[in-house]
Amino acid sequence: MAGRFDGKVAIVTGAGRGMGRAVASRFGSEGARVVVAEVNAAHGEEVAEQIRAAGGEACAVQVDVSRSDDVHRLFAAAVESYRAVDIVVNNAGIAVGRALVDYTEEDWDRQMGVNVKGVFFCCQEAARLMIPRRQGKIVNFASTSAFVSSSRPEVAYDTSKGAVRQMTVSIAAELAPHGINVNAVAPGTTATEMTRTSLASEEGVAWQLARIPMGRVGQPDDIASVVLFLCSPEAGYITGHTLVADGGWLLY
Amino acid sequence: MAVAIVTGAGSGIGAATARMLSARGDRVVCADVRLDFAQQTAGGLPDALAVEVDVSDSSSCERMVEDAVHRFGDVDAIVTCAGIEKHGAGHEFSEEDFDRIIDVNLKGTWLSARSAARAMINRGHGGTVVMIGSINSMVGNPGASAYCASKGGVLMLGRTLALDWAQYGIRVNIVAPGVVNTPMSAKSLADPQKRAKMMEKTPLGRPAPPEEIASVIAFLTSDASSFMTGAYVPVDGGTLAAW
Repeated sequence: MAGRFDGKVAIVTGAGRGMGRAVASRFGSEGARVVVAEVNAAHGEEVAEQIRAAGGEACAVQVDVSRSDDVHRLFAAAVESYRAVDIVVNNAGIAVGRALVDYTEEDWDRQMGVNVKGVFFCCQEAARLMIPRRQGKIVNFASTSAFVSSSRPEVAYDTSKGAVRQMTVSIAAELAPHGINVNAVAPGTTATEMTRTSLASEEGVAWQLARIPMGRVGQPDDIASVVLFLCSPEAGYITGHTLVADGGWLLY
Repeated sequence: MAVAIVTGAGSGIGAATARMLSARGDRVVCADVRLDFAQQTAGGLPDALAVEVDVSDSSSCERMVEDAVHRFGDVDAIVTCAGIEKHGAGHEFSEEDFDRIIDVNLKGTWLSARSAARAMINRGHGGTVVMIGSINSMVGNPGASAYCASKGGVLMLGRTLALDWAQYGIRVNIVAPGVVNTPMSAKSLADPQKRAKMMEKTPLGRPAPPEEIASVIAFLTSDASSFMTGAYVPVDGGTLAAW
């Protein structure tokens, strides 16, 4: 199978469902060896198996990215299986939505643990492997909620995505001299498990569509193609940027 | 096969874009204010057309699109690379120079995009528009007030046209190059002191060849960017990240 990412090793976190799954599948079909990192072992195995069934190469690693020892184990497993890591896509994320007055400390810690601490330690492990090789691509998942508030109250989620956006900027500046590109993608409303409840009712869909100039919600593949672009040589001079793919949501 | 118009195709980012879109199979209209430059780019490409255009002139832009439709039957994409720059302190800059820069960089971007969008809308299909902004759409550059104003204008022009044209399936995105090896920046890059200063603000530590901007334009004129419209896409080696 010949593809843009032949022989490249790509770790995708949260690859068991939604956008992460789409990214992992696309990498698999374009020649990469994919490490399907997923907290739900069954989901991870299923995606890895699907990639292999389609003729690609993949292995699944069960990981909770909010635990740094888990993250360390993930990267060690990737190196053991495929000897190097060329691409890391930090997609794993959760949304703990509450009114501000209802948040508990535990909610806050869980939200930040996955979305911020998880991305940080994955970037750290990636950098340790990439710096000596003077190459690498990292793509983090921000959100339109890194720029404006979410469509329902979820201040902890919005804060976590704002943090990812800024982390991307700072890590990009630090790693650029080592030839490593670090970017983020900011999806708008995308049809995944996470948005299932807000897109469940006709009113919910109508409300979303009224806000999206392109008149449709995003599909996981719309976002996957942007992530793959950021990991390709075509985007070699882009670093430190949060690429918005939202059908125009943020424009007004 | 898609039909793509590239303005400013005679040199720099425009020429690299014309070559790259042609290499992927597009039929390319190479438009430039210098017909001989346009012909030079088009001459090396299969199935390309060279046209002369002054993007600051609305009838010239209409003619360019008519020529494209006449030759290739359609228009699917336009990339507005035509642009000029002139340095001078704000209090010394002439009105004539200011008008010229705004006319070409800002009004010309609108006029050429407008002509292409009209053709797309009339023919009942969508398309893509890629405008060339700059890191100077966001941050200033001493001695380049007119240029920076024009590029700041291009950013909001593109974002608003994205809203106007979304209903027609036309996506509009804005590429923002940092330091690129083109005729426009050749003089500064040839001066070791100026070059060092520019690289100080470029974390990747090198200027981009025009092809590295063209590859992003190719992405934005492809289905891979299907959910992107109104996006500002810096291709700057990290300049804005480290600003």
